[in-house]
Amino acid sequence: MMRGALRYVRRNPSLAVGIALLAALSLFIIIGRLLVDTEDARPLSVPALRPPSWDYPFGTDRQGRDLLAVMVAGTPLTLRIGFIAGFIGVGLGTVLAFIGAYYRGLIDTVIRGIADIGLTVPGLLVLIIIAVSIKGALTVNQMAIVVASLAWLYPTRTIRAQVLSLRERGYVEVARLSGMSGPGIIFFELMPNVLPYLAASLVGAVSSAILASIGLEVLGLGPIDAPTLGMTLYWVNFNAAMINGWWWWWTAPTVIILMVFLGLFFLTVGLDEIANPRLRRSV
Amino acid sequence: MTYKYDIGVYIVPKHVFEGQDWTTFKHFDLAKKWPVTTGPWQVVDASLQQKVFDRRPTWWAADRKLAPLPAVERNISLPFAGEQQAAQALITNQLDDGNAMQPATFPTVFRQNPKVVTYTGQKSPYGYMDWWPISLYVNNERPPFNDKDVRWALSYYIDRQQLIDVGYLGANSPSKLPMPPYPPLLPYFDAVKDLLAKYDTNEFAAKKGDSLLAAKGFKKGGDGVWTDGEGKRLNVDIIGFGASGPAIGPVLVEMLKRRGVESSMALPPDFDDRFQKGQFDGAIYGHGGSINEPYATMRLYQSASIAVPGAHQANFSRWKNAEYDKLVDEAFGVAPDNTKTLADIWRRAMEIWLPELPDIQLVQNYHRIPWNTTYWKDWPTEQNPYVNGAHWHLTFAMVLWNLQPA
Amino acid sequence: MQVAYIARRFGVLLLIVWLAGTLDFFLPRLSGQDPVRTKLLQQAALGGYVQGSIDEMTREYEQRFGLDKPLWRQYLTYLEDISRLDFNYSIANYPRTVRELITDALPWTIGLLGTTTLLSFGIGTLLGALLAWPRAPRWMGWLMPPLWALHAIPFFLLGLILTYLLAFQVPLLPIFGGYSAGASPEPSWSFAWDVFQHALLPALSIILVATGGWALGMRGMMVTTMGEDYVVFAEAKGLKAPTVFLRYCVRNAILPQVTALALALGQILSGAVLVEVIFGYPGIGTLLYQAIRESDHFVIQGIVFTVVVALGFTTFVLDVVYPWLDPRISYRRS
Repeated sequence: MMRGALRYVRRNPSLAVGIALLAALSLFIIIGRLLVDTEDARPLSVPALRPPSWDYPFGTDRQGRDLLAVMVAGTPLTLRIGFIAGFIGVGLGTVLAFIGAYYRGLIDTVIRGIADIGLTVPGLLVLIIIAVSIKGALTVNQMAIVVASLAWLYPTRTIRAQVLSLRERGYVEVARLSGMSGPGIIFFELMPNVLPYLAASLVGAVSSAILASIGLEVLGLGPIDAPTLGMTLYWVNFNAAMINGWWWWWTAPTVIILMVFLGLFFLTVGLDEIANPRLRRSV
Repeated sequence: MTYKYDIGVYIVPKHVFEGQDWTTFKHFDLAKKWPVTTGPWQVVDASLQQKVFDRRPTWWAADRKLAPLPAVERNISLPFAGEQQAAQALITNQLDDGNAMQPATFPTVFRQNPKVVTYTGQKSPYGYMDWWPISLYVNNERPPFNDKDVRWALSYYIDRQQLIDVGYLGANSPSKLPMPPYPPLLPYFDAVKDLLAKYDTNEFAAKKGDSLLAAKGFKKGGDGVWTDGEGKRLNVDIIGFGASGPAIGPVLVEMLKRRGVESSMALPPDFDDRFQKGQFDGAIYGHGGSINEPYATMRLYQSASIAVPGAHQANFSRWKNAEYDKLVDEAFGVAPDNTKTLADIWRRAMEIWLPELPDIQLVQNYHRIPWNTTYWKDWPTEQNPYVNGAHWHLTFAMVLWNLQPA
Repeated sequence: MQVAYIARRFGVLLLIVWLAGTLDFFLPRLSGQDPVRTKLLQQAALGGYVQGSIDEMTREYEQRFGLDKPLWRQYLTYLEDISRLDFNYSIANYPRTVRELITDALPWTIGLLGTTTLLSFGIGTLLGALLAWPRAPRWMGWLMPPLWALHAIPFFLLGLILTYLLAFQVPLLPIFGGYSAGASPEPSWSFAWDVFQHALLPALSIILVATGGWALGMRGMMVTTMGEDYVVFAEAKGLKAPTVFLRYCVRNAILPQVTALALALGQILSGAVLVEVIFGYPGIGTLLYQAIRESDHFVIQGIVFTVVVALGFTTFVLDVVYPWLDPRISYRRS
């Protein structure tokens, strides 16, 4: 069993790298929560502007936040936005994709039309307009919903394409002939074959959602109280951390953001290879 | 014509504006040399990238020997691209006059370019005191902030010195009253010295705050947050804007939270709207009041001022007191240089105002403007404070006039 | 056949335009903000105590611009205005109109995005094709991991890193702006060089990241294509390797790439907006950022509309061109 897994890893290194990165991040968060007091992610907790040391491994920022605590507390927040938006997006997208692809006709045209049109709109711009139009400012959860409102577009399109091609396969015909109902066919025949695509889509959607939320936060439209990764970058900009030489302040979030995106990316590639065996070639 | 550096009545040329439709007339046409101005510079380019003013080849005042032609031939205004970019431009001598910066950035700039100075040279607080002392406003029309004890409790919970140390790296000073301690106003500070001793608006005494709240029936709940008799938690949602909001907002929130007051901070895009309409719990804002006599500040708290639209002479705290209103009207009729009478009225007004504390006094506002002496000298510094140096004020032309090549 | 297809795609374009306009109209109004009144208030504040006629001014202004009419009337007027590309005045930069501001900023964005997209698409596609080809030089394989790694980074983050390395640590390149302060745009070599220097960092941020994506996609397409029967047949026929490579594999693999390009335009633009903001590059992105900070709603609406329509139009063009590129796909309804 282990030998099989290892052999697979050699053939699909991307998956392994992706999982490894994300696992490392998760460990960081979990162990971090145990060892570090996340209360120190709040301002006034520690002396300001200390470079990394034994006491403060990631250094501290100008308002007295322990950056290690900020990373431990903020990374899950950022990831949460991504996951909520990603799941809602893919969930909604899957439902719509199946309905459209299976039943075809007018409803398919409408769904596809909306998805196509939505995709030509740069997501960030719509998010910006929503963010500035809302009364007051966004909380973390509200931001997730705002990002989710656009996250279903791409998954709908790709999953629909996949379902369309599967629909014509033999076993679906057999199921239909044998009297299985529409939803039954969807669940029992089509869904299992679409799962790898769903997984890849989900990871992709989560990645886009995190990117969108970080984008909004860096622009100053995010939840200013929250110690998320994007907000940390906002403070970095506001306090001119780069030119003032407080390199540790922006290094930590940058490295973590890199890990998040690289991890998700390699995971997507790995899942893609599972879904599309023709891509199985080592790099 | 200004009466407070950046407020004034704009004089426009009649022969250009007469007969034009004010909703569509732009007064901007480079070919016709519009906008028409009387100063020695005229607009030669105005785009998103830059606004350029060039010195006129002939100027009516210089021709008639009324004033010398200024040394500055070209003035370019650039959009603000972020503090890092501005600081870098100062260091590399691409910028002569910058936007106000955070205190922490100044030592970095000085280190890399010793020719950059501020109003106070290269020492803290790196600038001059503006007439806009900053407070934590609370909405006096919203319970529980309509209760003066709650307001005083909030004031006792805030450590101004820590706020300054963390928010401004020490480069600021607390403000006791909603007006800056400018020399002409000092007599008025003196007039209420004993009152201030009794009602110390800067005092940090958490215990006093605790007892005030307890006396009003608040109890600390299981989560450590003050809750009133009906189970409602004491919550101050603070809104802020610009540079002051992010600089001290999160620190304020933290301070309040530690004392058991639930709080949060936001920078809503519609800050102005909400603030002026009274749709807030708490807000970080300044006072556009007095600079040389107390009437303007007093008027900030008159009931009638609630209805004033705009950003300056409005009663944002929405505090109302009939007795106080009468005193303000009384002060209206007094000449501004009649210090004795004004001080008397002022004191009587403060006897009402101080126990009430409509908004919570925090810190002064400094204009920390960096000037690059590599190419130009005679900026308005401490040694030579001929005018305030903010380039966004209408008085900036006087600075441009005075500059000499280095 | 052809006409019907083009007509349908054009219809979709019109639909996009209408949707963009409607979105632009309703969303900001949902919040109940009144940007005109706010700006007039700010102006009034600058005039000190001269507050008296603010309400009258607001009323007059609203009347002049039809803001006191019922909502559906305003909506129709709005649609009419934007079809003439009249986006009203900029509130923050009055008396510049929104159209002027966008016209000033758009060439910069098109220049930056156009060049970087073409370059990254071209280089990436070529690289991807080569990487899939078994007879490509071995050292090319080493290019993949860094390209992949770069691809996962958001544009603006790479922008920040590059700024730190190439503009702060080593002041090699300018940090912000489109051209040096005081220079006026003019067709000259020195100005062009100035622009180039300022554009280099933002362009690099985009190119370095985007190339990896295209390379990856192309490699995937090539793999699929190379397994096709007609390629095997071509090889068996004894055609020379470069011919098989270019005319059989690349020619066919590039088609889905073009589709991917059409789909990715929106994302590229979103990323470019942030890059522009980081660098203070005078394009649509910075304009938008400043408009957000100043609550200049008309500019925000104008930009969103312009961008959506521009992208819609580009997609339309690509949609029409695509079947011409790929004879396998006909203009018939699929």
